[in-house]
Amino acid sequence: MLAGAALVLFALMVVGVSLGSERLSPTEVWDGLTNPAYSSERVIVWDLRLPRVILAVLVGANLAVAGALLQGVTRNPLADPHLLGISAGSGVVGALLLVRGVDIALEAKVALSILGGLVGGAFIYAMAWRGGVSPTRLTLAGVAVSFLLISVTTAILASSRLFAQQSLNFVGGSLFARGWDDLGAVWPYSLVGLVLALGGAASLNIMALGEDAAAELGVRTGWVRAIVVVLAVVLSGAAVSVAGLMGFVGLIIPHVARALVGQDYRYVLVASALLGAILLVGSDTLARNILGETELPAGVVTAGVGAPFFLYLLRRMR
Amino acid sequence: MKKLLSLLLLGAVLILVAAACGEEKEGEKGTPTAQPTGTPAVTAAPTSTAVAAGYPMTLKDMMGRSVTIAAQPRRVVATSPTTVETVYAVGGTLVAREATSDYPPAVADLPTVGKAMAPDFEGIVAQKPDLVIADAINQARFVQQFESLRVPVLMVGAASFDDVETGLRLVGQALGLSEKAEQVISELEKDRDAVIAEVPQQEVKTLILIMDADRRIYAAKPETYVGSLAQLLKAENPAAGLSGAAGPYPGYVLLSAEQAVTENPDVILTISPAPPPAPRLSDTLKGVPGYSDLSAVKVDKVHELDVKLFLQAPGPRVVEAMKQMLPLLYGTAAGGD
Repeated sequence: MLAGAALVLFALMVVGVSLGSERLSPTEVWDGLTNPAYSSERVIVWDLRLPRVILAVLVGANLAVAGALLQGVTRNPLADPHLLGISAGSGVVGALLLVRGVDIALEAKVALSILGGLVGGAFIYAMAWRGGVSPTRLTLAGVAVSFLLISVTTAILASSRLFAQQSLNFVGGSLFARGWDDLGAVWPYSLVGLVLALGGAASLNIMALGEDAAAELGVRTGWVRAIVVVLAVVLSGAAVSVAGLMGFVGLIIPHVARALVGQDYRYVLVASALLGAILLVGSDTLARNILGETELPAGVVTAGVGAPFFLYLLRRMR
Repeated sequence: MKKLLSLLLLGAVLILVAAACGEEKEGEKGTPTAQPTGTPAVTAAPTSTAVAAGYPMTLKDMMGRSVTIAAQPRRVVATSPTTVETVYAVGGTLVAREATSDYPPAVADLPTVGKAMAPDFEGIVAQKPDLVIADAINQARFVQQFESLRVPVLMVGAASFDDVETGLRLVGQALGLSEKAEQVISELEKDRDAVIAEVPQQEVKTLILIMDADRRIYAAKPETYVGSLAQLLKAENPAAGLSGAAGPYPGYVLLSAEQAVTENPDVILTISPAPPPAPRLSDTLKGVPGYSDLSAVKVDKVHELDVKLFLQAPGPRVVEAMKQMLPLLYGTAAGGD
């Protein structure tokens, strides 16, 4: 199952690197990948398409795993990094950076985006705190803070609106003009976040049994919840900083993952990462190619692809 | 479970097919020339007698970046209307242009590489350029992506008459056409002075307005291209003192009807970015609440400016722009209305 998904992902990555606004034959694509000598195929395939495809893998995995983590820790199937205000903090920072045209290093931008998410997350925690944070309170506070921060983001974008294409790319979610530099700034957060998340999977499994049961089994639910939220923030903050507010991935993919591999979080997290990557690589490739020279924001495609699929799942479920 | 997996695979296949079909649509795109890689496009050698000496050269472009050009460029790509016109003004030629550029007429047959707001980077690479000239004003955010193309990239932009001169000089140097560039610059200065000499003694107060997609009106400050030209023509522009929200047009400040009424300009100049059949702002302005009270609206001194000359393609046609603006500002006193 997971191996199958990995294979599909690899195939989609190959497709993603092969398709673009310039038609390249398979030999040219292969040359572009393997031959470092300068040629237009090399630049197109290696400098333009490949980092973007890899970035799509990471962003997709980040968002999907963040969604799975949040759904686990809130025990709410509608939890999603965007819905819970986790990424809204990153969104505010992203909008500010976009609008001010701030000229700082990429690494700094990504770090700031994550910081924004952490501040947002901390705010949610503070709002939800009453001798601890229950899943319900976390969800409610998250939704409320999310709406608040999203309206702040919209106000920032609207009051100083850039050329429509730019804010559309940010709000819709897009990997347009992202390259190796962006990948270099993001992958550490991805790697650390995904690995740590996997490490926490066992605890999440126990917490799924309920607060009291988990506590009796020795799991320090308060700490686990806090750490998981931080991980979700780091993962989604990094994703938002390069891809904007890419929707649907964090919400839908964990459900698909659970439908495919069951409830064990060790498998759910891995499956989510793979499936999230698949969705985003596919969506980004489609977004780049379906209109010829112009690009759609990939987020439009993830919604267009994800929503019908989700409805299908809904129909199948009891 | 199996059904779900097969559905997933079906979805993946559909994505593949759809993406591949999207590829084939390129043939129907309507761009003048298809561009398979490796097609030798038209390369005309620059016509001036400038020698290959001077290369390799290192220039500072209009974003302060250091750009090294190894040899006289033979395949140049320009990614905005301004840069396209600047290249041709100094006597250069391009192998590909930005999609909406239509001046000079010679560029119409060139292959296109996306729009200024969304450049087609792959298309640019496929042209195998040895120099890319991109827009410093509205493509600044793509600098890193342009640099990843592994071709020298020169950022050139125009927000004033002086910028136009700087741009011409820079592109002239880069293409080994400095002689011609200097000629063009001194002619432009002569023509500019001739136009300014025609400015009558009367004072005129003007607001230059533009409307965004949400039907909000913005006024151009003197730091915009159009604002700077109005300033050269000695018009008073009260937008200079206004502080309002910025909008989708940099340098244009949000204007309320009350502010417009308070300033009560003698003449209103308008720019309508949306192409026909969208209505011109000069026609619809009187319908905007509050604006019908302005004296300029009442005596019908609301004039439309050419959107290409004043917004989309600031550049070497700057004197033509000034000549268009002069009679609109001063009416019959400047010999025409």
